[in-house]
Amino acid sequence: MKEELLRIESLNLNFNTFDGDLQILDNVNIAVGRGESVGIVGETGCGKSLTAKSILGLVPSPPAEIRSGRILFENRNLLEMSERQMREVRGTKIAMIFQDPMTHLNPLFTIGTQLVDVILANRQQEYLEKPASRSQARDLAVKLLEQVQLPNPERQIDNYPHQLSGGMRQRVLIAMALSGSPRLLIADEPTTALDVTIQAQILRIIRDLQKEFGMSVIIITHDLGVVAELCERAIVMYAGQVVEDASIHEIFENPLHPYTRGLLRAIPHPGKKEAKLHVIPGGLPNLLNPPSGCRFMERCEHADQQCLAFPEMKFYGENHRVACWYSEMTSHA
Amino acid sequence: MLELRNLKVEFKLPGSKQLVHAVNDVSLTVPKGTSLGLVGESGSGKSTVARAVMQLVKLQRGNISVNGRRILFSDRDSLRFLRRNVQMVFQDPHSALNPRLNILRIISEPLVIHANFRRSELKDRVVELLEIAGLNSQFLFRFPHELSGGQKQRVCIARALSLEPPLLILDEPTSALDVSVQAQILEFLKELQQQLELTYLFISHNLAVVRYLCNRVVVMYLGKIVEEGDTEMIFNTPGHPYTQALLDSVPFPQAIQPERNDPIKGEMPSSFKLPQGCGFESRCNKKIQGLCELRSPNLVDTGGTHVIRCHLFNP
Amino acid sequence: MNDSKKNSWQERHSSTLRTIALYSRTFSRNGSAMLGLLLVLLFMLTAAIGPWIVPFPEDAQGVIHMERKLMPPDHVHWFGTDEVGDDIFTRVIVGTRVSLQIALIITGIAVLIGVPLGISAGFIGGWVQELIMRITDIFLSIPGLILAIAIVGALGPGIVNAMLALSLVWWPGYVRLVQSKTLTIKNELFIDAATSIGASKFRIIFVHILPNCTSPIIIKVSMDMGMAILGSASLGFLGLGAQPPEPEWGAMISISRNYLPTWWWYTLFPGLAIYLTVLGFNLLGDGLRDTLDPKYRE
Repeated sequence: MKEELLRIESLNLNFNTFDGDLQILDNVNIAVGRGESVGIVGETGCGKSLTAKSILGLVPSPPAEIRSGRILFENRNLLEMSERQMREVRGTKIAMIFQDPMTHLNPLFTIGTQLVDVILANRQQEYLEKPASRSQARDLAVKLLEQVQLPNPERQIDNYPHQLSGGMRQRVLIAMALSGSPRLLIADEPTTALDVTIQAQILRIIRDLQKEFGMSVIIITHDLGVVAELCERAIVMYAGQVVEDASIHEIFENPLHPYTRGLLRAIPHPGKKEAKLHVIPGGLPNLLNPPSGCRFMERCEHADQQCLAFPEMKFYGENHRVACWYSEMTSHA
Repeated sequence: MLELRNLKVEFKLPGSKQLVHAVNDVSLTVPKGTSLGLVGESGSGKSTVARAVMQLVKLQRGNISVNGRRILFSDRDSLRFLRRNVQMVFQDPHSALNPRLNILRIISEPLVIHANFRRSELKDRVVELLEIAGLNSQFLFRFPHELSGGQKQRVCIARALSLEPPLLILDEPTSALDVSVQAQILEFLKELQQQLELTYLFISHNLAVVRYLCNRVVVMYLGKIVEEGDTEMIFNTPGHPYTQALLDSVPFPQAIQPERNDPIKGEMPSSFKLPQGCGFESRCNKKIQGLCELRSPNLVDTGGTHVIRCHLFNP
Repeated sequence: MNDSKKNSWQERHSSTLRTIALYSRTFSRNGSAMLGLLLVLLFMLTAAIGPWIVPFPEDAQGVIHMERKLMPPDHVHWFGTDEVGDDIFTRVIVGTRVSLQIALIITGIAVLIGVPLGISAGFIGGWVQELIMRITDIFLSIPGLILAIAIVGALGPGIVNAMLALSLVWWPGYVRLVQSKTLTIKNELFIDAATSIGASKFRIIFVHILPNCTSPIIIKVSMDMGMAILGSASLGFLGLGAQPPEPEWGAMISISRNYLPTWWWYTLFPGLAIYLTVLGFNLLGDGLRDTLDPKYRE
């Protein structure tokens, strides 16, 4: 068991809307160890993106409201930090990259300027060496671009974002994220907007960099394949609840939660021709008035009276936790 | 059912004098009742081919024939014929529906344009279409923003079916949807095809989906077809290095082929200035030095129903 | 399965009703917007029934009562009297209707000219767009009031000519607004979808593009109403718009400024009327924009 770096404890988050309060996150518990790569998987509305953004305090509050819970990073509660304290954490200890690189790069400045700005901003911390000048920072920028395998970094560094392709922009963002030598990298759907061959390149880069720097990585995605490529562990969320948390091997070979099972059977397998895809009936529950216990209840073929009470996460084997009454009964079979 | 011959499409990007050579010499045939998958990444020209068939962009060269009849941009009758025989389901259901119209008006619009229905008959027909699409009459007076992604896509499908076209072009119909919703829509499309004896031209970058739904596959790169064949054959023994690279790139826990290669380097060259040679040689690890960058290979029939455009396969 | 033959009006419009409720709630939270709404409603009400309830209706036409001239405000003449003895309160109230008419006509003509030009420019593109936009640019580069003065100067003073002049000054703003919105909408997928089902260009413009332009147009109209009133009052003030004895606020101030500062009430009340009306429309316009802005919609 690795030393723990981040722990999200009993996070409850609401969203105030015209129609009422949406109970978006319900008792979310996630732990990430040092140097560990974890994927948070789920579909639209499961709350995975909000969970990630909560870590860095990027959720506007109002309309969001954190009702309870803690986010412990290196034993300090991030939710209780002031904005100034959070600014010291962002970029240097925890860095984040997002889905659409173009909206996260300023079109008016060259990528070199932007990268240098980030480097200088991030390295104002005591425990890192300060680059003395912009030119030193620029050299570092070129080195970072090399590490993310941007071709011709000395020339590309003077280009503007619109002159780069999607894959190249995402690399620039990764370089920016790495510039502060973060302990934790959060990637929110980093490859969803990219082509398949480019996606493969970017995933490979993230994986190599993670090993080299020993950082922890949290990947937010709806694509189980991406998680399989990149992560040691997967956490499956549904409608704001964490339903399963297991090693990659376990998730794919022995999924225990009915939602995880349904999801795996709904994905067409490129490796073999399939007869029929499994369709999970029904839709997301209404988050204004969610069911009291397990939120997957209405769509679950094994649902029962006891599902009205929220199933606690139980361990099955060292690497596998599930929040489900049914699996608790059947796994002992 | 659908026949494209030597299609060439170029257009200027707004605010620029440069020409994008989107489609260069594409020919394909879709037999009635089958599904053809058109696979490629962005810049490959696959979406442009679809838009060309729908006459949303002009052709520089080439013919389009639907059910044996040639379609010409200038010929109004042939355009009407086209609309009644070919319809398209677009990629992003969220922007493919006019936010100001309710579902009844959206689905009935093709009928209003092409046929003379009485008001009451119109509503009945729309309800019928909603039911075929897996929805019900409760949706008639709702607006797009009240629907989920999957529901919106079903509305798009209902709209496309309203004129009863025998051929549907589906442009990445599930890319914007969640996995479980995608499964629903794909199953639905499969059943629909059997029920109504439809022909599909299915465009996607997702190989797994194409494998699930299509009999034949066409792989495009930089505006040209690089490989075409029966789905199973292409997936089990891909010929063209690009097809192989696409299969290698699919992230999946169980590898498609036991040994997967590293992701290929580089990116697709720009469509502004087409390279002289093959086009893929800058990223190809099997290229023949001195040949591949200078001469563009032709499409070669390797027997059976398989064609490939690669110097490695030239006899 | 409920196969209702006729859906009730409520069922058919339930979505619209809900949206209106949502907008109303958002709007009503905005204090200044509600103030603007109040002022505008007051204005409309006054214009509607004012002329029937004024104490001295004949004064609106400038009947002369020299024995009552320039009296300060009292319990009979709430706003005092002017230099021919007419009740200023009556004249200001009747002037409300005059102002409303002017504003509606100016804005109406501007919309009728500007919106079609804007859609044509955006939709057709090419040289048509160039032509329309360049003409628009020319009109926009001349200061509005100066242009209006020039036009009225050429046509001769009077309310009708003033309205004509101001309409000609106003339409370019709508062209710009609608053209840019049309360009944005043109790139949406549902326009492609409409083309591919065989919609004629006509249909695309009227069913698909125009309805999606209405939000920005409504916001601009409500703000323009205030500015149109200000514009016509300015022309009236310069003696180029309404001519006495027409009870138009600007014309009234034009004369009353000669009587400052001693007979201050003659200037104050018409001035206050202009101020409150324009303020009301501006606040209303701001409030509408905040409400209809997509960012607030969630």
